[in-house]
Amino acid sequence: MILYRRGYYKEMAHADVTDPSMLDNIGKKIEHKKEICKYLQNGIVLAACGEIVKDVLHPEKGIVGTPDDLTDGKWIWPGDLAYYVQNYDLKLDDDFVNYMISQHWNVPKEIDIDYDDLEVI
Amino acid sequence: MGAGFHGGFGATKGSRSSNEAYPGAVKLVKPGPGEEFGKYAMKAPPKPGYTDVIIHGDPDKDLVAIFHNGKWTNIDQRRLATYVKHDLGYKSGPIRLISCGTGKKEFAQNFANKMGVEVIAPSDTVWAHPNGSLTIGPKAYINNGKWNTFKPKKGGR
Repeated sequence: MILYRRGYYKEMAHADVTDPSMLDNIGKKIEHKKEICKYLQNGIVLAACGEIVKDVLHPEKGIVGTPDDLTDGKWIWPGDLAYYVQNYDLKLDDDFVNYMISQHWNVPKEIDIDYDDLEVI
Repeated sequence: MGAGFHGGFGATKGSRSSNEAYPGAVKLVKPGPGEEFGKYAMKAPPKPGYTDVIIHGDPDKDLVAIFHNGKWTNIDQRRLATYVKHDLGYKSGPIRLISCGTGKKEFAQNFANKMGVEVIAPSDTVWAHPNGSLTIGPKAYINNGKWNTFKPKKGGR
């Protein structure tokens, strides 16, 4: 089983330096912003992180949550992603958003994940 | 390049069956944001002789944090020691501090000093998986960290 990484930006605590910059993707016009944020927040926690993270763009705003790895069975994204969509109009990849639309904005309640045969790319 | 994950929703051998109050564990992750960390970590197989203290870490400040009354609050080793000593889950003896990065700088040493017992703590970010497995590393699927051991020192903070 393959999960596809989306929504990891190099400014984030557990992203890669090769990930895109959040600065290039904020302040955009976001259609379905409310639905996107709700979808992101409803992801199933694949791995729970024992850490809190701050707003990486404006640290003075304080703690924004925990960077758990969340999934819907196809994509994997960080737990603090919804915060940036909500507060900075962070634009996500079209393929990711189109998948949310195809699911009618509903994350499955249960996902059958074979952890012995799981890849993240 | 792909990477494997470490733990599904089935139980790990030796894992605790409940995420409620349990002798040998002090869970300071309450309902609210990040609560799955507490639920998953409570399933971790106990380390014989150790009490688990489960709480979110704040590596930037070298402190820990709890979500209380709708907001995150940092707490230092002194307040954490007070919480643990008054929790029914702790009797005595060494502690496994399941909290991000607390074994990287000074927090775990200061906590060990305050408690007067040995503390083991993760060298990097600790991830709790649905089956109770714990990994230490920069990402959930990179398990390259370790549990560092801290002996209490007299005259410490």
